Amino acid sequence: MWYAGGTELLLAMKMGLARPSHLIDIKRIDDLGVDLEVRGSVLEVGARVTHQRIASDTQVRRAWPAFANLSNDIGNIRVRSSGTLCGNLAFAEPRSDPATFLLAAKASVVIASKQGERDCLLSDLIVGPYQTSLADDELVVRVRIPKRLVTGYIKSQVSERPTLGLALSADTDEGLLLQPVLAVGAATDQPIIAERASRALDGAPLEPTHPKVVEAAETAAAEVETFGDLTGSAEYKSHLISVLVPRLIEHASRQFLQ
Amino acid sequence: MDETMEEIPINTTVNGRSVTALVEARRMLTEFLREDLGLTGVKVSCEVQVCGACTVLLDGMPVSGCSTLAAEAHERTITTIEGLSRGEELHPIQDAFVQSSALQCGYCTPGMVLTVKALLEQNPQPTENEIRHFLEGNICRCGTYGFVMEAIRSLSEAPDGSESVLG
Repeated sequence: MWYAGGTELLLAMKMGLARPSHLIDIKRIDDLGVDLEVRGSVLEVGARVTHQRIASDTQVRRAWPAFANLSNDIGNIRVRSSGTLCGNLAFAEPRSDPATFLLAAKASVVIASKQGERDCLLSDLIVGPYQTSLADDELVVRVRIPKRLVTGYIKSQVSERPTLGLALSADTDEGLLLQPVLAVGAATDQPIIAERASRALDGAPLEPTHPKVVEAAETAAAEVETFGDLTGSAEYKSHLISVLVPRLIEHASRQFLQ
Repeated sequence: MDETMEEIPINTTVNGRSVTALVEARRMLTEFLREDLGLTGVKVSCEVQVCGACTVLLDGMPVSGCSTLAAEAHERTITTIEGLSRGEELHPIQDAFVQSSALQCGYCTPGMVLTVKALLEQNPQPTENEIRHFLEGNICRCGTYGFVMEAIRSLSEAPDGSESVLG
C-alpha cells in the first residue's frame, strides 16, 4: 500500500482496520509528486504536497483562497505538516474537508499504475465511505483543480472531525451565481452534491437573506439524507445545512469582493 | 505468534546526536524515542494524533510521534524536549513557560513547548489568532491555555523587537 503522510492510514492500521503487508513510502521515490503548480487556470497538486504547503503557497492563496483557507484548517498543525491532499482523497474519509470542496469544484485526479496514467473525476474516484475506485496497485499522483470565480467552504466542528462541511463553486454573470455547485460533507457516508439546491442557487445574488438563497437552504436540507453520528443526529445535521447555506453565501461573497 | 517483522536500518539525528538503529517496520516513533533512546520526555496520551502530547519536531515540523513510523526518522532530524535545554540552562521557551506558570502537571508541556518552537521559528511575531490556530491541536487537561498564551506573548514581544529569543 502506498503512503506519504499516513495521517489517517496509520490510525486505521493501529485499530486493525487496515492490514497492509507492505507500505511503500512515496516520499523516498525521487521527486515523485512534489509539484504544486498553476498550469493555465488549473491548480495541479502532486502526491507529496502537504496541506500545510497548500495553505501557505502564495499562488494558491491568491487564486484559490477558499481552498488555501480550508487546507489551513484541516485537522491540526501536525496533520497539516505531514498529511497530503492526494492521500486525503485516496483515503475517502466521508468528512474530508478538501474532498467536499473539490467535489463542488469538479476537480479531477491523475491515477498512475504500471499501465500508465489515467484521468478520473473526483466524483468517480470516491465511491463510498473509505472506498475508492482505485485498483490495488494504483496511486493518485496529482489533483487538478479548475478555477472558478466564486468559491467558499465553511464547516461546523467541535471534535476531531467536522460535523458538517459545505462547499460552493460557481461562476458569476453580472453578480448573479452562474452554474453553482453546492456540495455537502460529513452529513452522509461520502461528500455529495446537493443537485436540487445547486439548481435553486442558479441566478441568485450573493446575499444570504435573498429568497432564492433561503429556498436553496431549505431545499438542501430536504434533499440530503443525513446520517447521525457522535457529533450530531441526522435531524441536527439537516437543520445545520439550512442554517449554514446562507452563511456560506455570505462567506463566499466576502471573499469574492476582496 | 507474531510473523517475522522486517527490520529497517535507520540513520537519524536526534537532538543533534547521530543515531544508528534497527527498527521493526511497525515500530512507532514514540516507542523508538522513549524505549530505545530513553527520551521519556516524549509523552503518550490519546494515540490518535489529536491531543498533541506526543509532539516531536521532524526536520523542524511538528508531528505526532504516536502516528509516525520510526522508519520515517531515517535521514531526517528529530528534536524532542530533551534537545532544548543545555545542561541546566533552560531554552528561552522553557524559561518563559516557567515564568508564566504555563505548566501544572506538565504532561502536555513537552508537546506545547516544541509546537511553540516550531511556531516562532516560522513566525516570530504571531498574532493572537495565529498563535491560537497553530496551537489548537495541543490539548491541556489542566487548563493552562491562558498562561501558555502569556508565555508565548512574552517571547514574541521582545523589548526592542530585534533580539531573537530562540537561542
